[in-house]
Amino acid sequence: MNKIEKFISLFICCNLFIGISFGGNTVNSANVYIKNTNSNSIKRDSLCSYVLKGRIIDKNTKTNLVGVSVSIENTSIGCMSNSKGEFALVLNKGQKIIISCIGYKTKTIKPKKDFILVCLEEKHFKLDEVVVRARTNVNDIDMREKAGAVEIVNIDIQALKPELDISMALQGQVPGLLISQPAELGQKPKIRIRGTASFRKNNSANEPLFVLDGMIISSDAFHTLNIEDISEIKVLKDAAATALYGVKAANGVIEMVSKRGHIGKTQIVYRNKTGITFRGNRGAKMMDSKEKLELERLIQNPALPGYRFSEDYYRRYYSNDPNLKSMIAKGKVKLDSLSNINTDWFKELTRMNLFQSHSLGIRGGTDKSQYYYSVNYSKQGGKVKGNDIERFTGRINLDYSILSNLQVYLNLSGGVSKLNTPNGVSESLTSLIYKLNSYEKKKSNGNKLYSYPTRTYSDLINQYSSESNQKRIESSININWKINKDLDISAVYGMDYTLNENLSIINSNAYSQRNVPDDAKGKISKYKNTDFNYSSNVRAQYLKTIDKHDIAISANTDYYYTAIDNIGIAGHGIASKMKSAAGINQALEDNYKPKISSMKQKYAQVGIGASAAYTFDSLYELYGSYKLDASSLMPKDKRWNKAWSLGLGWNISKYSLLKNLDYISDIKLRASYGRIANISGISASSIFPIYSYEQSVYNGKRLFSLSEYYNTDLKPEQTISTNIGCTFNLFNKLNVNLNLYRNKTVDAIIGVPIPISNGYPQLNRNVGVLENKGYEICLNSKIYDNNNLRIYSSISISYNKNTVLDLYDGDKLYLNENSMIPEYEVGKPIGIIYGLKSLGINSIDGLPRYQDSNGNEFNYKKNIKTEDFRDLGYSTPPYTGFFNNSLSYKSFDLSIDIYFNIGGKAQFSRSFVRRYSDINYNAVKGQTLDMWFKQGDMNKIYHKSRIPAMANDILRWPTNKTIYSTDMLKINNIRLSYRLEKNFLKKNLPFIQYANVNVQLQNILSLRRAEDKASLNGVQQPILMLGLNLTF
Amino acid sequence: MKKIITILILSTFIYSCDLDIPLEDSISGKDAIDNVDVAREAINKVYFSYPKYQLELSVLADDFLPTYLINHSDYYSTLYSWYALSIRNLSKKIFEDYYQDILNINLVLNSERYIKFKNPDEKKEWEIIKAEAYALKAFLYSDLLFLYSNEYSTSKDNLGIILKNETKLEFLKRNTVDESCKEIERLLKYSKPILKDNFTSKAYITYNAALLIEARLYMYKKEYSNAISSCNKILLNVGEDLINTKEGYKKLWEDGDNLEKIFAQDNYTFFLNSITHDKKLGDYFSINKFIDFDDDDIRNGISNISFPMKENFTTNLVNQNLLGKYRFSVEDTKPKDINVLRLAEVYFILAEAYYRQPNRELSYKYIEKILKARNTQVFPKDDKEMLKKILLEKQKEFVGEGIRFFDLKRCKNELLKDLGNGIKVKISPNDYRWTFPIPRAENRYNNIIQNKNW
Repeated sequence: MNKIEKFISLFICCNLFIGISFGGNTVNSANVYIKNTNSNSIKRDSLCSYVLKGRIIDKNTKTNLVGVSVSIENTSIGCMSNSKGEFALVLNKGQKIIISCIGYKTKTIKPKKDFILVCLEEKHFKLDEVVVRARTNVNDIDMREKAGAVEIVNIDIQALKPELDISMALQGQVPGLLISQPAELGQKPKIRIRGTASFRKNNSANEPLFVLDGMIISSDAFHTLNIEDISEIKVLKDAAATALYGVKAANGVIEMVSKRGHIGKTQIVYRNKTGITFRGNRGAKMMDSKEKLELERLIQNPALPGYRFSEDYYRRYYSNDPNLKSMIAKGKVKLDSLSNINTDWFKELTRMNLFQSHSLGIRGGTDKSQYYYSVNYSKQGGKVKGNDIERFTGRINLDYSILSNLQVYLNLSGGVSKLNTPNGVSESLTSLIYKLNSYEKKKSNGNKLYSYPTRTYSDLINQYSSESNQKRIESSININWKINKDLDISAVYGMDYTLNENLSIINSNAYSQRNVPDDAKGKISKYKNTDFNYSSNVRAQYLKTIDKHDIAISANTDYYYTAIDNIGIAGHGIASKMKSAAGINQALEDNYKPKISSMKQKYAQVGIGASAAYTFDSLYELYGSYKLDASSLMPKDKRWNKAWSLGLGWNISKYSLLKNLDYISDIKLRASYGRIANISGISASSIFPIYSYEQSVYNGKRLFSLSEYYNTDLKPEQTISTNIGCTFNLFNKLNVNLNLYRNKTVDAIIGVPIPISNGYPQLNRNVGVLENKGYEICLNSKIYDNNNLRIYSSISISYNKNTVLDLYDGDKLYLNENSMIPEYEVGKPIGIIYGLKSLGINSIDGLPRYQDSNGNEFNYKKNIKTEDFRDLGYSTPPYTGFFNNSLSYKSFDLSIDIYFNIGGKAQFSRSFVRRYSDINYNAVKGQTLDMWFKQGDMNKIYHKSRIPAMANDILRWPTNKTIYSTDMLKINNIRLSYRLEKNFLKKNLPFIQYANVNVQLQNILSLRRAEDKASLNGVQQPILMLGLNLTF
Repeated sequence: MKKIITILILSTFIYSCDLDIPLEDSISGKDAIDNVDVAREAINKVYFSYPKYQLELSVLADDFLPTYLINHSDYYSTLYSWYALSIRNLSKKIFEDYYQDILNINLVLNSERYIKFKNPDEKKEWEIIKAEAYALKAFLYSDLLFLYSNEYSTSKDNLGIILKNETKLEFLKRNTVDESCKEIERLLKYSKPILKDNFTSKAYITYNAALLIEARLYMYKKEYSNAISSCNKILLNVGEDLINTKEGYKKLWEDGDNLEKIFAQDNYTFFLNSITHDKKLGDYFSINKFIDFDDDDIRNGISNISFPMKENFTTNLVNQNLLGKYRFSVEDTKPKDINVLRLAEVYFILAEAYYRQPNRELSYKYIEKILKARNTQVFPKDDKEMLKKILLEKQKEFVGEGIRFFDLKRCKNELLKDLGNGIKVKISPNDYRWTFPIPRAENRYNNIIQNKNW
């Protein structure tokens, strides 16, 4: 409790400090454009004047529009909408207001009531448009959104979340976008759009493509982006949306646009997030000392105190000893003293930690040039000591209008991040939580632990440390040139450079070094990896409207170049106190010889593409794209691969029949089909022979060897995607978005086993056809809306099912020679858990019994066959979804985000159930009661301690009793925010335009159908965060 | 201005898009091995990764007894007790390693057409490399044959090994034992004359090594006179001298040349690492009790090291014989070369082959010679169990070197495993596990005929 208080007081001090430092700043002299919003400040020069209040929303997405300019016609009086899209103006009766916003059609309204709801419609390329829309992404063509599945993320809300990683903020926001939390702080989360499209499970084959301001960025760069710098995120899910990006986009695209300057006065935004990360769940609950000692006694392992000091032990081994009684008495004293120690290793080894983030953004500009600068510092501590991540990022975005028809956008951004990871060499700290016995202590006075008989506690910790640094710099230029009213050319050129450094040290006094000669104790490895990317993309676009026909044609060429250069050194024999590679003992030979490694790779991709769109009377939309890409990684004859798509849109509401219906509006149907080749995951060495030199030598000469067994017949996978979508609006309240999709992966690649006599056990081959199909339903609704109270909800359910449609070599594919069940089978989904039907533990011999398909009982002695297995469930939950709600009352906002998944199964981890051989480690709570010890023990869950070695084989299979449902409903995020009243600000803090304080709770509650008995790695830490947003 | 901008922008459409980017840290293409130096480096890879299963095979045989620490190693405890799954796993590893080495040999041999020679010396060097590659392949094949096939017969049903010459993906069937033997003989026949005239290094396969590989094969085929002839050729080459001092015997395991080394694999890691549990506590295995070195035996203290170890968790420390050879004390973890083939084996093969001819006189001559050199007691000439004694002495000489397993299998001897607590298990000579299983992968993906009972 004391600790929490400390954290909170620290937080308050921290905020005070910030407040003071900004209070003293010079920004308070800035004129406040938004001051007109306050009706009191307007001189009431007419009796007919009244206060007009209103809210501005996007016509399609129904989201609030921020920063929209509202002005009174023929006057200079105006205001801007706030973060909820609201505005207030004093008007004379009969005056009209003009509502304008970049990217939207300007509206002129003559208000009839004192509260109006304004729906702004997005502008499209029309002849009569005067304002050039800032288009910083050359591939962002409006037309494709009409036919393709594109989701726009509400970035304003996500930016408030206490997340360092931008992707975690997207969790539970977009139907069909699945993001799984990494086990350890600093690791990359797994991101998948609409399921796993490949047989291969690794990231490189399944990760979407990331695009920032039209430039492709690496997933590493994506994860270190500062979410505050992003103004828009689009998730592209089907071929019609992604085919423009060619062979890299088979797994979907996440497109981002960074924040830019605006025309107007300088605006300074400061955001502070300070929070506490809590320890979270325990994972599995472990035994206390008393239960553990009792279990040891029952298992009768003399190496452990529970049995060694028990009466049973003395009576068995010293039954005739004259001192038997005093021995028993002494043993009891020893046991009593041990059972009085109850170390809670979970509390000892994990900790609460701080999270903080400060960001400052400055934006402004004139007609000719606009700017946006931002810096961000953030730090997050992990649950184990020494695990933390620190990051500093900066960005400069400059926009210039060189000529009236030529705009140039310059972006420069960079970041530094540092990740510390402490770990045992063989044991991670989190695994120690489940291994150390509660009767053991940190301070042992040199006594060895029972759990690790040859070590003391200090031999387990401080064994290893690792520090990773990432330095990234990225720069790009976007050019937008409107040659004439129909034709424009836009281009992006950019490069980014990432340096990853890592230093890991095994201390010379570490336990793992005990068998190492003195001069070779300790190990340091250090590497520096650099990654340079250059990309360019030029697109020409022609737009023409003739009567009711809108035509858009575009063509592009792009080029990507990547150079990777890695160097590493590793050596033994670390001089004491040395924390750098300079301490390596270079006199060592043989297996302690210092090692140098190096990797250099360059590759390029060039592409050419075209797309066309046609719209008739805003009723029918037709879209198509074709892209050809060539990669240097592929052999010449397979170099060119294509991606193409076709899309259709149909605005049914345009028909007069439907136009008059009140309850339904904006009905739109979309359909798309496309085929994209996927070269991700194919490396040069899997297609043709590549040899390299090894680090080792033989007889003083180098070793030259083949890197990988190659398959000259390997072809890229083809993803064929079909999407049917529909959006409509019910009663002007409920926005419905439905999507049905089917993604087929043809020529799916996977490393399959081959006869070992070929020299390699595995070869990458095109093995079959995989299908992912599913639907996504998303409902957005304003449930209640009046002046003071507003309630919005959005609910989404996604269903995904994958099936193996075809396998080229027979109808079953075994990835492992020992598999009883094929990993892939025609007609079956991937990820079925197969197992046995358990009949529980036999009360006579304490061994598990099973039932075969004929109802006969069998035990471990049976040679189990495929027929004995049953389908126990599906490991990936097919249904996922979210239920996000927000409620506003006056100046308060409350939002609750709920995430759920249904239909998944998982196998209980039995790793904390101990037997004779590993009873030295702590055991899961309750094992003593649930374990079979003697004849007649009925209804036990765990088999006896010592089992025949043969039985181990059958025990590794899941059974119907070791499977649990992973159904879960989790409150991702609760946020309460309060916006300071304008009057209050004006009186007390006149230099602040806008102020908001908020409290957030993240990962606080998850409801599960079955208790999760996993390790700590899957546990998400709750975070309590206080945030402050100030606009000057 | 507009013109300039137009030109600038239009010029960006033109890319320098050469996609033939050469690899910088690797060499690609089927012609990667295109000169003699690279061929040597590629064959070096084969030597370097020549499978090292001496310890596992010794554990399967009766060279060792488990110590109380064996509970810490599932791998060795299950292997020691001949647990079928454990043998299956070992068999897979062995099969994989051997065939990977065979692939690496084939990559060198099949590159012949790409190799360019600058001068006749290079041509000659290539011939040597090729001869070594042939002999190495014969060596790998013969080990595989001894492990995966039953005793020699010319029957068509007696299946041998898969003979592989191509580097591409193939689905080959097993050849018969007879065909396999013929292939091994063919390979050796090709390489012997070239190796005879060109000695390279004892880290490589030389003429003597090829002869010893051949002698092993003849013993398997029960062609004893051929075995004797191969061995005699070796003795003709190296002379009749043997190591007869402790110092000299120790040198056999150290760097540098030694008269009894025939093929010593260059090695950079501590070979006994996997059976060492903890330098302070001891090993998973001690040398079997019946393998006892006299105090005067020159091998005493080198083949074995005496180390105080508990007999079980509760007892006091007792001196036990741990395996030496690759270390001279438990503290010594300096890597030492691995003696894959050494001269002593020639004497034991001669002794056994002459005995079986039968020629007790000559048999005794060779066994006496080697044992005297080792300064140990020789059994009497008229010993009724002479063959058994020869094999036991061979085991003693080669303890921990994996040779015993092959001898037990070839001679169809019964094996007795001491599981502790007075439990002893007999492995009969007809037990199916003597013949390793073809890995399931080969069986599953190639539909190959499996060995009996597996």
